[in-house]
Amino acid sequence: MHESLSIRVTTYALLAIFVFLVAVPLFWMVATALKSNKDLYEDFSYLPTRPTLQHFVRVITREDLLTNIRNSFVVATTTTAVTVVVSAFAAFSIVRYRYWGREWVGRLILFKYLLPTAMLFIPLYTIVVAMGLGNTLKSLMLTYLSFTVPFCTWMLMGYFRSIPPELEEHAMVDGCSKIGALFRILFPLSAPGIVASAIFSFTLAWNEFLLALVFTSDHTTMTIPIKLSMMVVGDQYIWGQLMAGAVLASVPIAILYFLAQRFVVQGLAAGAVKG
Amino acid sequence: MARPAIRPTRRQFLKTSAAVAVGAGATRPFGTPALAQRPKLVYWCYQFLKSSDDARANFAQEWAKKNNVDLQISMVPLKEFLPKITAAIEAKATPDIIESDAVELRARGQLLDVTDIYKKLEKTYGGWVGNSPKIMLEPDGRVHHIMYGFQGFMLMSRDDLVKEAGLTPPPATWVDMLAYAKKAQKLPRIFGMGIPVSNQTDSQVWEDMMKSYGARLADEKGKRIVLGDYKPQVWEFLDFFTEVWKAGVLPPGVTTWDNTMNNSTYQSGKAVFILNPITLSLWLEENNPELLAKTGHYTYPKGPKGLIQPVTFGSRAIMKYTKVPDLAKQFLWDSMEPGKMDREHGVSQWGPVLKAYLGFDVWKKKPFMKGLIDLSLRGEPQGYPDVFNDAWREQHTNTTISRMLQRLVVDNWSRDKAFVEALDVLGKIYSKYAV
Amino acid sequence: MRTRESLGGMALLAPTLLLLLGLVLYPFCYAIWLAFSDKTVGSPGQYVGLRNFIYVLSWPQFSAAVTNTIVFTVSAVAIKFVLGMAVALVLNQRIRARNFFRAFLLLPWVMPAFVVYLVWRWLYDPLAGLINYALLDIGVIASPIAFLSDRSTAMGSVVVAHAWRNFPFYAISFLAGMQTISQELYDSAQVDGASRIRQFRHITLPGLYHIIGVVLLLTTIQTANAFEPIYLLTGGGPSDATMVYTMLVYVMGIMNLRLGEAAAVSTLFLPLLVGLVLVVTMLLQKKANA
Repeated sequence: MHESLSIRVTTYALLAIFVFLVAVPLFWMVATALKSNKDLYEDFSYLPTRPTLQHFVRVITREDLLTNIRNSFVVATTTTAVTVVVSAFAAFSIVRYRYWGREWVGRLILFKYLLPTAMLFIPLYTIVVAMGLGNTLKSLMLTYLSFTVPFCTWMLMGYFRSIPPELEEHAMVDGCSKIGALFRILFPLSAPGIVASAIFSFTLAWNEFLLALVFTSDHTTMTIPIKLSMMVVGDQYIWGQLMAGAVLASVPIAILYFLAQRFVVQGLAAGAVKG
Repeated sequence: MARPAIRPTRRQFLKTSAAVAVGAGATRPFGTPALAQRPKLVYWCYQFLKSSDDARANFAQEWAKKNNVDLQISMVPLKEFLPKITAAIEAKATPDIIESDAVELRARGQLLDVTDIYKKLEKTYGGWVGNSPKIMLEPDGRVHHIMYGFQGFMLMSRDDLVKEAGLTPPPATWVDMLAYAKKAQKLPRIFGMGIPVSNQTDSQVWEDMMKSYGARLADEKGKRIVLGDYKPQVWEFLDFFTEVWKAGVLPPGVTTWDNTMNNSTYQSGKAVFILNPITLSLWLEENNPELLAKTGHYTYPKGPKGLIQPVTFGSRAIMKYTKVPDLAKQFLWDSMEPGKMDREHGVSQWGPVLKAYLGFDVWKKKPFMKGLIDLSLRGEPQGYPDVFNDAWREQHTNTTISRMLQRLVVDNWSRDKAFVEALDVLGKIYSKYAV
Repeated sequence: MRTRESLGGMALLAPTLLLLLGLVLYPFCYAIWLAFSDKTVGSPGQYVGLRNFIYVLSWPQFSAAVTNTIVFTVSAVAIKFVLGMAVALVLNQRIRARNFFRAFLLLPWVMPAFVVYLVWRWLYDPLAGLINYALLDIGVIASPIAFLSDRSTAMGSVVVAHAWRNFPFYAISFLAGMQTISQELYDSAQVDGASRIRQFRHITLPGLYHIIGVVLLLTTIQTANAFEPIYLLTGGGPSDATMVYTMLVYVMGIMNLRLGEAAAVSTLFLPLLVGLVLVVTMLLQKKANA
């Protein structure tokens, strides 16, 4: 009982610290989005003295930010869907099968990460143009796979390995095929890991900058990070719009996180019932 | 948000530019393709100041409509121009027309020869202003990009604070500027000089200052580094810089300032002097006219060896891979039409490049425009007295001179050590281009 | 049976293999080839042997880039790991509004990186930044601190901003990993009277072994290749205090259009990263096969 009390106190104390650390910069972003230009460019103030929604209105009506949010959403969703399937199969194959070369494929796909994107965007763009995908969202969906798939494959390998293979072996003894065991045993048990991987893939695709900058060239195909970067106009940060845009762009993905977190908990509950 | 109230101007502008396009279209000096095909043209429009960008983009749209061209416009900020154009060239998917000051593409043979347009513009509109020919003409007399505006740094001064301190703006020399800054600043709220000493290109001003003390980087041909022969001048400049640093006129943080920080410091009333293009003045005109009224615009102060006032520029060029060279040339020609340029100069930061533009009313209407005219008439190409070539440009993006200064004040190196490193770096860069 | 099963496994791997061949191999080889050529933009480029390597090795900022990249990577990974683990442990407890906090504490990772670093740059600003205003108002400091502009604080400040944005990845990975550990293990440990710390050391950490390995592997590489925090916060300055290798690559390759030099810098860092990949993956594989 004594220990449990001290644990609770520590937990809530740590939670308070973390919430504070995360909240300060977020607070500043939201406060900036609500400040008038006078507050922003002339005097310092902790809170907006004359709160205004003008920046939000402007980025939606004049900058048509919702189009860019939709573009990002389409790209990130498609990329994530493909990524989860492809990398779950790949991870399953590497972890649960035994054949020559599987480990090397796993290592080689990591080579994508060994060079900075600044070195890779030129050949990738050559590929994109050769496929006739210049200035399309498809070019992003395709090339984003080159960094989401290795990432998620490795993450899922980690999660799959944490689950004892005996569970699947039992099922297979009961007449389940190997693939059947994947769908019935491994996927449900590693659901939190799969959701986490999906979140990673989504976030990586949502925030990617350099490839989107190079591959797309007009408003209809621009993703949200590119659009936001255009709000640094010349030698001037358009702070109000920039932050309003960033806040707006973060809402869909924040909701997604929230929902996904619930799913992680449900996944846990489902696993517990089985156990 | 930065420049919201341009709507009426823009609408008005559209009307005029449409008329202009029709008028210019009638002469068609460079031929037009058959109307039935609806040729495609990709145009990368330089993004910097919204009102000016809108004006150019809107003109292009109108022009495309009149000429029945399928036009695709991309707004490309300067700092993102290079990665985009690099990939485009390598993937052989280049735009037809670009706007930039990216002379490096000329040197790499990526641009179409537009000498004919250059000559025709010169003849039709009374000749080029100031040093434009020096910037455009190559040694063999050919031209690959058409300038549409001068741009450059000016001394912006809080004249109210300067006068309050009992002084008369502008300071004539850099030494005077420091003295003014010390007297007029109000620590810890207002700092004398909002000038970056960082790894960002705005720190270039220190190289210009050093040159006004008589130093130069390379020889007349722009091939061999000679800065080592100018040690006395460099030392005199470093005496000045050290004094600036010790006087506390530079705000804390200047060693990592990016190119926006001098603006924002001045906007918030925290600097007496900054060196900046008039983009800031145009911003103040709409957002803070009171501050603009207190601001004076001047050419740079002089050094012991005179004035070094460099000028940058915006220009248009045609990528050599274009499938519609005549149409692209037509666009370049039409977009320099004086009626169109008159409207454009009213909302942009550009100084006039053709003499026919010098008579526009806009130069008289706004007080800060006078500085822009001075700059256009007298400004020397960037790097002056050094040759503006690829080697110079590389040492400029490397901010070699600002790095030397940071070695002194950030790393506490001795002058000799920092100077030797700078010479070494300059030598390495220039030797790559010497062959 | 055995070969059929292997074939099935290979079939599952096929899409990934295709991706590897199509989108990873060519760009990778292209970049390596660049390092040995005098290619500039728009020219085909000729083989020049080790010329680029000799040039960049003699470049004054290169040695600073090596040290800074290592310092940045090691310290950032360490902070993110500790913070991420602590957050995961807290969020794994039965706390009020757990779902809300689980989403809230991950928010830094939602915001576009570019915006996050601009905000941090502003927060740190000695003239207009929230941190300095707050510290001055509380009376902790007497004059503003130029966090990003002093050699003694610049790297630390960059690391903090980077860790703030990226620790959620660790937290979410570990949290998900904790869900796959069977509750029974904890229950029986409870019965044996094991303390929470013992439970963490003997159940949680071993249960997370593979996740921790993978996370450290992926993020160490990513952190070493981080570009945005440096580019947006300091530009490698003051002087060369935060110059990391990706910044050097950017300046050489993109700003100066000298692709060969940029590729040479990248290639020089490759052995370090390849070594890391091999060692960590071997360890993970060994443990998995054991």
